[in-house]
Amino acid sequence: MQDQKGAHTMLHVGLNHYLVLSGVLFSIGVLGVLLRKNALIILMSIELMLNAVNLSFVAFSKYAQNMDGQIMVFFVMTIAAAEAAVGLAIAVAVFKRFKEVNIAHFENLKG
Amino acid sequence: MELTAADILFYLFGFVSVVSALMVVFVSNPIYSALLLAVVMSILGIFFFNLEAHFIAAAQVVVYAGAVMVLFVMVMMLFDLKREKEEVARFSILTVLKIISVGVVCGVLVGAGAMITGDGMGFIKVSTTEAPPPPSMLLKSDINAPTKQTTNPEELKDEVVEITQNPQAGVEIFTKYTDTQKLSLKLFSKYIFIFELLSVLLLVAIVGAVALARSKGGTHHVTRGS
Amino acid sequence: MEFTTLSIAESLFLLPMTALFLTACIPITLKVLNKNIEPSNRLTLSIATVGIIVVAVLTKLQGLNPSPLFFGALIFDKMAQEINHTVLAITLFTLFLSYSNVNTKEHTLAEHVFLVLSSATGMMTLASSTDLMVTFVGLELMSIALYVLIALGHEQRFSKEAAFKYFILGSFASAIFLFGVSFIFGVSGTTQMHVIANSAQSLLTNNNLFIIGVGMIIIGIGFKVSLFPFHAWTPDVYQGAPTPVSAFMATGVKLVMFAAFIRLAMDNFFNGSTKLNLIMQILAVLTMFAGNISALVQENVKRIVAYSSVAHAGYMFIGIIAASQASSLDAATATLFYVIIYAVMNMGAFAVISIFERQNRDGLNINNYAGIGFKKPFLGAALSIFMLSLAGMPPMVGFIGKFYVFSSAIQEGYLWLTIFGVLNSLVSAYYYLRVVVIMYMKEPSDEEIKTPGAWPAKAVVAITAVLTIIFGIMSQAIYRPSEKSVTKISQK
Repeated sequence: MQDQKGAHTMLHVGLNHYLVLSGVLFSIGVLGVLLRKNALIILMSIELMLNAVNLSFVAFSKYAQNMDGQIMVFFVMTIAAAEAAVGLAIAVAVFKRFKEVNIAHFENLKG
Repeated sequence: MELTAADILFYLFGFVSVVSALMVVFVSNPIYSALLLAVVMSILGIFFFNLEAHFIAAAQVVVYAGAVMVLFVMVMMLFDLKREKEEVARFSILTVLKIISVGVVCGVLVGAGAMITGDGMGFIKVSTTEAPPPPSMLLKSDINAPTKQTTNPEELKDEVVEITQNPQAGVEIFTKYTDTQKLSLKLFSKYIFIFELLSVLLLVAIVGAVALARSKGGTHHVTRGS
Repeated sequence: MEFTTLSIAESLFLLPMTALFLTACIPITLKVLNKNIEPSNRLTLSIATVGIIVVAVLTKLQGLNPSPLFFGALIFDKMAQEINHTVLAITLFTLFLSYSNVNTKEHTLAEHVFLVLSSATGMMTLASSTDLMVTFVGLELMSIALYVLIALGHEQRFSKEAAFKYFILGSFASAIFLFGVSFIFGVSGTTQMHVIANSAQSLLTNNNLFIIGVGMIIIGIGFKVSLFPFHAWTPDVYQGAPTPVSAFMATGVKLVMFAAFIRLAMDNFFNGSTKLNLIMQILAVLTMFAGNISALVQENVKRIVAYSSVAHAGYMFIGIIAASQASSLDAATATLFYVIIYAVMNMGAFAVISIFERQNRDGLNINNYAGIGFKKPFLGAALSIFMLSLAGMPPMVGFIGKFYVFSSAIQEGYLWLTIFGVLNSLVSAYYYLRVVVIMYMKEPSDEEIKTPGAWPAKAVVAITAVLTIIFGIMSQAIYRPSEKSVTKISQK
């Protein structure tokens, strides 16, 4: 970013700030999926990732003055909600069968 | 360009959302994680409002924080989670490797996002610092009558033609209408196919969830004859 | 064409997808109207069959349209028509297998049919999509139906665990794909592939965000088609899912995701960055090695086929890399051809496995196949045909497919890639021939193998075996139409 006016220009919020925030939230979501063993927390981390993508879409949409980004967010929100519902249904089915949701215990399928 | 109040609020809310997101991942009680995720989603709603996406902001709070997270908490209440408050992750070499790789990914994304400039971004001009003022600001008195808007069907038809023919159209339209009007102008003309396909997807999700519940190992299994 | 609202002519192009979805709704509506008593399985299967045949006829009759419709969302060109026909054939075969398979028949066949046909609707959307948004929505529609399909298998332990694993990894991949789409949208202001094609080459060399976006799209799609290092879910999920659903996943999902890859490649998305090209080559080589080497030591038949599908994804990806320069059409045509015939071969192999499957996971170890070559000659011969074709032996069609892909890769200058590909084919011959050897040379056990009610599955086996041989001998019959279809894409 052009820095002729001094440090103040870099602090004024622009597209870069929103993208950085979106990237950080996305990475935290990825960390949650990789690190945690509780099935529900993994589902929540995936929701966090999808929200970070929504933020990135809306930021691009405003600064390019193009509505496509917001429409994409509309669709992603719907899909994420449907996916969360199906995922929770599967999680409930898993819990009913295995009596727990810790994925470290799901080793039935090896070999 | 000096620091405005909106900037300070951005930094404040950004900090809170990042801290909450970290706590979603690292807190051992899943109910706390769910509520913290609802906090993150609400703060994202605030960001959407700041980015002049008013409809999306409202939908974010209502759908995500209000429906999806409530569903999560409800499902968590069904589980017996006393044994689940175990340690977050075993501290092993694999964990360190995972954290490092995620750190690398984060660095790449943040670097790419921070270094992008206004020019050289494809074939549209994007302003990274300045956007034209929104058509209706909340405190202005002419909130009910934005300028240069039209409800004349002939001109609306021209607007829709403009939207649907030109892939990058909408820049002029962007300043003329309110956010919900712009959203609907594009949604029901240009993206009508996806809109219809989503209804199929929702039906599939509903039938899938119900079928799963009523299947042989499900919670609502009904034996033959009833 | 100047459309402000959709004309009837344009909407008629949606008729096949609509008809498919309505067919999906019929058995389940009958079930509801009948006070939740399951309609007879034969009735469900007949309704589904009639529906699929009607949709196939409609797809043929609707004609072609050379430019994108629905304001740039879909395109109904020859490639989409071919892929739609293949998807419908695979769906029909899957339903035949589901009717006979021990893990899917009875109890919930109406819901099963609904989900399979809805997933097929998503696949038809993916085949025609020219907009990254439509690709995402079609991908999600296909996947959500698949998650539930896997979970509905009768073997509780395995199905639920496999469904959960596939759901987690599939959603993770979709989120990564979406992030890539957001970067591409941010850089170019649109998500329509044919609009981005004009400037994609210069963007790919200069713009960091665009490269990262394309990379994340490759990662997202790569999860679904089991590229290295995102292939680890494949054996577990294929083994845990009911066999007809595994067959549907292994053939249908690969088919349409590689169609999406072909459209991206023909629109210059991979053209211009040597770094990206190198990474894609490394991915292809590692995928082939991972699949083939892991398959050598497997004992479970479904896991063998799962790892073999990983290896075949590597061969197909070689075709995509060769097509990425978009200078000639041979590579794209070869990849399209390979994906279609692979679907046919693999469906046949899964069909035989499905017939031999018993309850409680019996009948899936490779030693259960001892002596089957003589006890059940028809099925043994068919399985041999499929195994030899997958290994790439002439005169089966597998050989022709690999020949076309490798020769187009050499034509584009990827010598080392082709060498690795041929090497891997030779290595893979070991575990394919192992199955054939066990079937014919090993001492059979004395138990009687009964296969009740398996006539639809046997019909599938017969059809796919015949197609494998016929396409191998008369390969020009489907290669020429493929060539014509890919030609039309690049003339936009």
